[in-house]
Amino acid sequence: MELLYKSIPLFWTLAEGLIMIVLRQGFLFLRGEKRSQLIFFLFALCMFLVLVYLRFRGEDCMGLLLDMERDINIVMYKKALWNFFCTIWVILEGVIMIYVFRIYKILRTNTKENESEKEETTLLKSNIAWGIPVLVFSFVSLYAFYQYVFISLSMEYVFSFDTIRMISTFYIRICGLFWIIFEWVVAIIGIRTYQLLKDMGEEVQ
Amino acid sequence: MTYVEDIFLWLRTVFTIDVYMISTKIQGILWSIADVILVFFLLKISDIIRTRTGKRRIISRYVLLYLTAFATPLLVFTKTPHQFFLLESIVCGTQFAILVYTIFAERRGAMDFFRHIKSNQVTHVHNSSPYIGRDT
Repeated sequence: MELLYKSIPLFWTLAEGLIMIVLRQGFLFLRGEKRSQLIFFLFALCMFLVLVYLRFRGEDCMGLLLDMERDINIVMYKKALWNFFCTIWVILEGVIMIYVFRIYKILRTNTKENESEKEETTLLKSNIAWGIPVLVFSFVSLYAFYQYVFISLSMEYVFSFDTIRMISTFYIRICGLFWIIFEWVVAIIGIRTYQLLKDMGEEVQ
Repeated sequence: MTYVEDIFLWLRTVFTIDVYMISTKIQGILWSIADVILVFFLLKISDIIRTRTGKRRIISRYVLLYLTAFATPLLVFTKTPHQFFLLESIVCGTQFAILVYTIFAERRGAMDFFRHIKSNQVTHVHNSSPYIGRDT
């Protein structure tokens, strides 16, 4: 059970990471870019291996900095790590949403014959070019800020284990809001893409 | 900073285990429904592509998806965070597995389909518009 509990978040991360890589590949293909994905893939792989290490051996690593014999430090570390995973999922889902949106825009642009509409779409595309860096920066900052305030407070006040668990868990509810928003946006774009491809398929045939 | 600290200190009094369970269930149901919809339409898109390449329609992945759709309301009846996590892992894990498998299995077909649509579009524009080459 312990192995399952430790492996599941890694599986979710791996699945979302693979989806993101394939979508990025599809996006570059549709844009007609022949850029290699190797560096991006290696970066994603390294990040994933770091997460595997933190999940299975992170406590040993943290033992160099903190006294991991103390239960409070173990709980704080586990909660901080879980919240970090939640942040990674929000980022991955956000990036997936951006790629899905961009792919949909390209497909829709291909169906337009009106020049002004095409120009509008190009403008929109340039407006969201900073979407991914902004998303990554925002959520990493949110995580860092939440953890900083939480750790500062727990050093200032003597929190019980339950209090630590509940305040830390509240962060998951914040992430949950973004999961819901991003997944619903992807679901709605999915419906619209299906309609578009159905129409395009019929036209092509 | 004091303002933020006050919010955190206030949280420890209001964010109880009951509030946590209720909010978790509501959020879990909401994102699971979104997952079901997005996987369903990804399978529908895959079916469009498969029909064009003469492959038979997807069945097993739909069955798995419907099973997760039926299991989603059971999240409401979980009593502990542990039970919720287990059920959510099964539901979400299956949906993610379908997503990943579909994206990899249909990748080549999708690229051929889009290539075909793009080339058709270029031919279409070439025949009807003087702007060929400027925006394609």
